[in-house]
Amino acid sequence: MFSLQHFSRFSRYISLSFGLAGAVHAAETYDTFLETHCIRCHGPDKEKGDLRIDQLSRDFKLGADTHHWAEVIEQVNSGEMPPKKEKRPTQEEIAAFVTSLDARIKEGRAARMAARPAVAHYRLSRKEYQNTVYDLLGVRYDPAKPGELNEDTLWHGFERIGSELSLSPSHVDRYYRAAELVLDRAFPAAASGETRKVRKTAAEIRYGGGKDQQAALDRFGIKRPLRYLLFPGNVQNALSPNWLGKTGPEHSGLYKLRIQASGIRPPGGQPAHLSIGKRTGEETVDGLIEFDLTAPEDKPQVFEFEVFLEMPISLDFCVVATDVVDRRAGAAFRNALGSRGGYIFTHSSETLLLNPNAPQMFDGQGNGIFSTVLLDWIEWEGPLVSEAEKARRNGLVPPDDATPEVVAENLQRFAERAWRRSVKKEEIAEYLQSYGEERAAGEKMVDAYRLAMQGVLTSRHFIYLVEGDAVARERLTDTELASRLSYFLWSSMPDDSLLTAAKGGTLNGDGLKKEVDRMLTDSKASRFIDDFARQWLQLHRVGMFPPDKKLYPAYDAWLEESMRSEPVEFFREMFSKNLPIDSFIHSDWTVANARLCDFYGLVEPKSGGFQRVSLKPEDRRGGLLTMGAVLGLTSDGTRQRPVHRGVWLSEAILGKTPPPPPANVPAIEPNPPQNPKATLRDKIEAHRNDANCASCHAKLDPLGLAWDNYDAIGQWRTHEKVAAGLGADPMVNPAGEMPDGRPFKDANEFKQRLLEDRDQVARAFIDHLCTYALRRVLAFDDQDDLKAIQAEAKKNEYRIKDIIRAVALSDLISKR
Amino acid sequence: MSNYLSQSWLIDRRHALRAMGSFISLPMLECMVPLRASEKVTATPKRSAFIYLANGVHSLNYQITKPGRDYEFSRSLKPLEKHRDVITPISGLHHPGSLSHHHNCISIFLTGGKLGPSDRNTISVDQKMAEITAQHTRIASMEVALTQGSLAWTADGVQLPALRRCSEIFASMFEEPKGGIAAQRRALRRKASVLDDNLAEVRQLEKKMGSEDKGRLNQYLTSVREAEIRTRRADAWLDTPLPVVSEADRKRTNRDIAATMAGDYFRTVYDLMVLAFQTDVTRVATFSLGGEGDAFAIPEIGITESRHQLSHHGGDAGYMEKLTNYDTFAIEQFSYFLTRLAETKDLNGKPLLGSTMALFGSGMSYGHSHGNANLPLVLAGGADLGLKHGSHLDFNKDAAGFQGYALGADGALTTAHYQLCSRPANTDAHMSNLLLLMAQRMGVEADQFGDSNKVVTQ
Repeated sequence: MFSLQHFSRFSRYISLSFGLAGAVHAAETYDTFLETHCIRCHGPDKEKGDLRIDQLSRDFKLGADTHHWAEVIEQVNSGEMPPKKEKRPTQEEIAAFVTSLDARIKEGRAARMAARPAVAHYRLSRKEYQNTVYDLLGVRYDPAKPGELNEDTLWHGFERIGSELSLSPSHVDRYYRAAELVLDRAFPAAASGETRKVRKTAAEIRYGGGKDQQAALDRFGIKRPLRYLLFPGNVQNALSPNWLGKTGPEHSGLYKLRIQASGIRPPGGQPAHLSIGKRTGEETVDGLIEFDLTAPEDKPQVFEFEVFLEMPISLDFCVVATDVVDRRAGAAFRNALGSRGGYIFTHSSETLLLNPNAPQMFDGQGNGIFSTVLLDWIEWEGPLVSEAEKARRNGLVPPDDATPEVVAENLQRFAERAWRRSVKKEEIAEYLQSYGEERAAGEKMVDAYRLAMQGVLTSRHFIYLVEGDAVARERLTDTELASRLSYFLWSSMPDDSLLTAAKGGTLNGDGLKKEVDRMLTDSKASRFIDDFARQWLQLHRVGMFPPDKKLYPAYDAWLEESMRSEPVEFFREMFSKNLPIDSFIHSDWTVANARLCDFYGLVEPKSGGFQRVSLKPEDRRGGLLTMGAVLGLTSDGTRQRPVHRGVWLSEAILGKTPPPPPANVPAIEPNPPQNPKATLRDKIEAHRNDANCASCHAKLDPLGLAWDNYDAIGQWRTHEKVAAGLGADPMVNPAGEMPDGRPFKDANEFKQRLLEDRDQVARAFIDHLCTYALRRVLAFDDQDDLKAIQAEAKKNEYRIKDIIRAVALSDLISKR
Repeated sequence: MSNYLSQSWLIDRRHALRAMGSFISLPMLECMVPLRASEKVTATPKRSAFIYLANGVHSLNYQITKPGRDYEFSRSLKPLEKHRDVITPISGLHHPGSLSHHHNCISIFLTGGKLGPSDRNTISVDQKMAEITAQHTRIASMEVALTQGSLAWTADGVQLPALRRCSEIFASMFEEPKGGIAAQRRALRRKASVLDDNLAEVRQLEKKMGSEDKGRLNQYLTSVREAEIRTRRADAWLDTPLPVVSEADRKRTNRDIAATMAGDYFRTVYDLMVLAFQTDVTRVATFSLGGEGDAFAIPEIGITESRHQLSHHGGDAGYMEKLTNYDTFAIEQFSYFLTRLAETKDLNGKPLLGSTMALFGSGMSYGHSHGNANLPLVLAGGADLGLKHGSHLDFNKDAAGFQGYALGADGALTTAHYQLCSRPANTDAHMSNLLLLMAQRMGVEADQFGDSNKVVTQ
């Protein structure tokens, strides 16, 4: 059994080792330390620095003296206190003191963050807002676009912690604008654009019709049609607004893209990857659509995508590869390939014949020199509005001659759906009054009514999840529970059936089970998979510090995107197969695409997209911890950061947040050129000679050093590359001890140790799920409920879907 | 006639009734003041600009080692030599809250706040200033960041969104209202009406709750209220013609510049800031040259690496040289800004530089190891507001235990200097003290800002 005592130092809230008696902590470790080392000078006898530690508030939940306590930790941690001339505490004493005081501070902080006023407001995250307006009105709206809704404040990766999601006047402005835009799209002033379709062949987009080129082919007797050779290092037009005729904002909407193409992959090089998006530079686009082309030249494939476009828009193709035909390699080379009339492509075997003087893209054997894409045709169709989408806004706006009563009923119905609960007439009185004033001022029905709808969409009932009443209560109402469940499992509002169950009083017992099971099998559950995996594993950090191109030439935008998807797809597989939690730690499979397989050195899948691939021990992968995303997000673009890796592992996998480092950490200097090369580990360990640092790092660092065999982008290595210094690059040493002393010699053994701690890993996972579902930090008061969930989940080997189900059906989830 | 319309805000029945409500603690009076009355323009408009350079500098080539008036310019500060009389290089300040918080230092550069896991950021000094200047100008403040987030934070610790593209910045200041004044006015009124309804609805709940803890409710109320005030202010400004921008200025600034043209990009944003001050569209501006993670490469001087990448030079001589060149380049563009401020006159006919304080700097000093002490800072301009310049203001020199800068036999700084960049020599020398000084000179009535412990005296 993993020793909780050893880890309680990292406890986010007070851990069980402190005993279930809970709030009473007789003879605290920290008090003993203070008595021995501090009170003599900071107490009743002397009041050095005007500080009386004996009088500081011990009510950590109230938090009155938190900053003084933090300062006390800081002073002891940094070695400033006790002063040099006094008796020095030992490393163990310091560790015990800091641990126990830090746990108390965190416990108080968590309680304050978890505190719920009588009426609690939890603001929707951007993603939730997006899903909600889609489910409400069938409108597509992208709040992450520049200029739209503000970014959500993260708390340890979570986007939806109520105490973090605040509101400023600028948010209000943006919510107003968003609501305006959403209503514009739902009820366009002019009849919205008819669905149109256009197909462009390679001859049309590449060769301006291709008459001359076709004549050249005829001369040579070439039967193959013209193709468009797209190469990395340049962007090429994929959609112009005028392709579809006159195009304005009324044509915004969902578009279907179909494209026939194949890919050329150079021997030892990467599969061709095509990215389509808005041009962001000479050789880059923001990837709206991304895919690998593994179909060979002679067997092109038709790909199909659906994508939301704000019209008018121009899109470009961009072949992404690490080896590009760039300016630095010679602009003439690229210009020759890009030349419209000059370069003709049909087939690799015919390029030399057709373009004897152009740079060659294929070697004598017909192998590609670069990763390239061969395009046959492209087709755009849209905007597409499904009947289901239209149905959501049918009958919302009352007819022009509607009586005030009918208008009121209409608005009430709309508010009930938008606010996800029953709405009383008087709650919408203000909005109706504004409607009336607009009408009286001569506005048309639709314009006046839109003002009222706009009010409903900017109301706090729409942009927040509101729980509670003026008089405090402990449990959620059924409609509140319906919203909590749907934002947990669907990242959106409840559907009619869930809301009906809530209003009908059947959202309990078997009725609740039925609804939760239905929700878990609904396709909207994939939003939970995307959102929870991203937030739990802090995937927003992937690529935050772009890797150094010189040190890591294998890295590119598509690899990064693929890395970011791997843990999510892995989670999806665990969820849909309901696999036991062990696979998070280790598995003999992963879910990868061609680019990742190439990067990991695995056998590549025949078709594109993410799929399950099996792993052998010599692949040195398996589970979350050896994924590129995890190893990369804990690095800084130039080197791995063992301490960050340790902190991440401690938070995400073990559910414990280490105490903060003291402020006065001396700088790590670069390895001097005249010294022998040293690993980062050697340098960090030199740091640890200091008793104050060692008190925390001795336990924390091994959790990160265990992964030293993987570099800053997650590539396997046996030696650490050191920029300057004498001698050969030093060997990596990943060995270490768990906080309770069990040894491991490398990452594999470390995983085994973690599997022995299955209960703790599962508990951490449950805590993360509950934090996500409840939208708040967990506190000591939640411990019993969490234990109950764990007991339920353990019955069946901690299978993932069962754990999620246990959380959704728990007592905790129905509490405020 | 249009004037009459705008004044009608002040007597609008619904608004007036609601304004009488007792539940709002906001300075309601301010928006009840007729526009003309607030036009008693202060004799000297006071302005401030803040510029952020991510990832610190190559401190060995940046640090000025001699305090006082006869300091010598370091290699990377050289481009500022011609402005010697109007600048003060500052050494030895730090934000206690950012020590050991790595790249998060950018979040509290202008706030002096804390960065703990449950700490909420506090108001940034530019926003503190905007509180008093907003009543005079068309837009309250200008936030530019070429990558990642802005430097500006509200009193609730919410980061303000940033503008990036020059055309977008230009439009925010000088674009004609969409669809003409009448259509714009109708839109603003509809907005005010909606926000009003939202407020009225929440007030019902507020009444019911009495003195209970209202949690998020108060924040919602103040934010919606403030948004409403801004809507009305915008309405009032509709009747004031947009400032005239010369064709040359428009051409130069109203365009989009690729990230690969960093120099042109930096200078054009500076031009836009000058234009904003010159036309008095705003008096407060912040400009982040790029975030801590991905500030631009500068291909025009042979730098193809991101700034973050260079800062983790690992002792590589080539990288350190490039980092120095980058620093020098950025400081050169700042020097351009000062030149433009000096040669441009405001609406009162006085050079902008006299009425404008400009602070340039980073929340980090030694990027390779994330040293957040001894911040590289240069304060410039603002002579009309009482700033005195000409010296190197060195807070290291009087610190107990400071042994002087770590100079080698050749007189150059040695790597031992890095320690000074990671651990403050003078723990009382908070950067908030400098921000407090600037706030006071702007006319903010405060004797405390962020974690200030005293005001900087020059």
